[in-house]
Amino acid sequence: MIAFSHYDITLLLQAMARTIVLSLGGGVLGIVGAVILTALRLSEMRGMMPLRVLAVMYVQTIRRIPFIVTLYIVFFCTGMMGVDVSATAVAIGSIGLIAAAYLCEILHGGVKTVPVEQAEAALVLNLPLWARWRYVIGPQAMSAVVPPAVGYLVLFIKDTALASQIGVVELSQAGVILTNRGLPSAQVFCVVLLLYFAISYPLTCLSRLLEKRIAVH
Amino acid sequence: MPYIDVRDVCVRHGKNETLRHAGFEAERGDIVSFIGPSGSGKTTFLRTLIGLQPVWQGQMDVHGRNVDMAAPASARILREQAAIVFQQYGLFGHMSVLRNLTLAPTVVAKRSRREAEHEARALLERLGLADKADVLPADLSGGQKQRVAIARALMLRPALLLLDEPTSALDPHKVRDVGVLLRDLAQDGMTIIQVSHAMGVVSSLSDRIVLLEDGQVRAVGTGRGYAAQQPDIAAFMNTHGGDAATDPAGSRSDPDH
Amino acid sequence: MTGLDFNPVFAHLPFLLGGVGVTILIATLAFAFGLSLAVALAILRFENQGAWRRLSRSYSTALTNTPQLSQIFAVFYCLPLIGLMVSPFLSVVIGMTLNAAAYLADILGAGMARVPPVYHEVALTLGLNRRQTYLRVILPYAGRAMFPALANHFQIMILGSAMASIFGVEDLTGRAYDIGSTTFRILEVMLVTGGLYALLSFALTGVFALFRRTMERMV
Repeated sequence: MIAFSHYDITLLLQAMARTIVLSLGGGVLGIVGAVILTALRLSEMRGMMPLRVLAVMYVQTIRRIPFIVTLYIVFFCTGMMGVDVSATAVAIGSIGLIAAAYLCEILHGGVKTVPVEQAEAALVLNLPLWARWRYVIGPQAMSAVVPPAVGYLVLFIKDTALASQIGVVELSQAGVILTNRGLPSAQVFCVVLLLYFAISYPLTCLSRLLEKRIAVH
Repeated sequence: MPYIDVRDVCVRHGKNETLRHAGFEAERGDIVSFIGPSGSGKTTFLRTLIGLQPVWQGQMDVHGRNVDMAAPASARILREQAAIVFQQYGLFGHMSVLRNLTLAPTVVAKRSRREAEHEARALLERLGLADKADVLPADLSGGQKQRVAIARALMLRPALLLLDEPTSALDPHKVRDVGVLLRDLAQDGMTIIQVSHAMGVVSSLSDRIVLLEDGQVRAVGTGRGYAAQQPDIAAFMNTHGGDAATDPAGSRSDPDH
Repeated sequence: MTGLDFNPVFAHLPFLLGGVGVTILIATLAFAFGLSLAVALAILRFENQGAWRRLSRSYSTALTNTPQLSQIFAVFYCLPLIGLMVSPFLSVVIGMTLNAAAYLADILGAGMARVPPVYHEVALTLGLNRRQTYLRVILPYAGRAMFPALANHFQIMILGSAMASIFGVEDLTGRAYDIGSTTFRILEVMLVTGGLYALLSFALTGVFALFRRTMERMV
């Protein structure tokens, strides 16, 4: 630990903050995207059919492409279209794209766990659409959605490490920078891994806690 | 000298003695039934006979061969001479019926697979399961599962066949079939020891009935058809006779387990 | 967008397709080694109560809560420190193996917990020794019970192996990057590469489904 200078520590902490921003930003974007995708998949209006198919195809396909490839595609796509956005924004957008697909699967699966009679009961009570979701389907689906969703957030955090490849100085890239600057690599990577662990482990615990709490009910 | 002589079996959990100087005798081809209230130690006693339950002390003679049941190496010897059919059968769900039967003969006894399969098929045929050799246990009915479990035990060529609550998981009308099968096996010289709550089956089937209470042998009745007339046993059966064949007491929450 | 030109990519398609083999090789090697390690870890935590169990659990906790990329970096930079000069390919396989072992041990552990308790007693009374019990009863049962999770993790590892490109390994992504930097058509080549990964993944899904069906029939 003695090897780290004040400047090195600042770099590490800034990089850690960047990692958190990437995770949070990507997560929020993912949630928004997932809600839209799930709404498309569940919509029963006839005209929505093509969109529904597209949504399913999107969810099925993007989960089968490595994150780093998605990241390159978004990065070079924005570059080619001449859109001037920062690498961080590209990374957040890419994480959001993938997170939306994964979270959509979770959300969709969670909604499917609610018995059909529940939705029908709400329907015959003449509840409007928003009320059916707010009071009947939503709360019942939550238990099947929240724990795995938090679990996936942990995965996104680890995916953010790949943002280094488009030039975002996040935690893992900070480790490489410090190593290349001649700092002892064993110590550097210990610290980097510990910092990731410090972000990820509390969320893992939270996911497990939620799972247990829900299992009790 | 009796074919089987078990003496002085003690099981301790800390200061608690769950089995105290328990013992019994049996001749070859006998059907012995352990009965008694829940927590009396009858399942514990059965499990000592195959080394699943460590004992503080105890001696067992089978066909003139003495086993010190408390000796560290006794479990292996006990398992060589006995086989057990568990209450829930414990058939391996990821193997076919045939493989369930041949696993131990081929893997443990190193017999050739061909020969083991030949014997297994013959055994299945005898038990009326000839067409079930290649199916998975999940596709069998409760009664079929039990017969497969019995067949698997018989593949070990044991001197003693132990059964834990053989009727508890069966439909009432299947109980009689098990009785017939056990009687059949006994006639061929298999010595059978069962724990049972089904008093009707016990009294009609048993050559010996061992009544356990509070970890001790309270009474022993002998003689087919007469064993149940021993006064203590008759009294116990009268109070517990209501569950004769259907046997609601043979639940999985039996504290003996 | 008018600027897309896929022709240079198609000219290099055989080279790119060769990368699929490398990708499968990396994932398969790491999965096989990881699974062996995971068996040991899972048995360690199943058989023991105290320190060994905690050690095995901690291993999984530590490696599932840190990025695989950083783990590979750690292997890449730290193995030379103890005098081991290994190729980037091997560094990646080692890093992915260590990572996979953590996840697979959790999966196998969950599978072993699903083995009905009576199986252990049945195995004892059938005379199986401990090794035979694991080999014939517990691991096959757990493996079958957890087959979907294991297959899913293999898919995750196929995707994760794309990280090998960062270390200069010529896997699918690595070759795509090479083609991109010589033809200056990197967006096009990455789009094709993404499609190839998706195709590979769909194919694997089919293979696993087929495998599972034959496994269930073959008893």
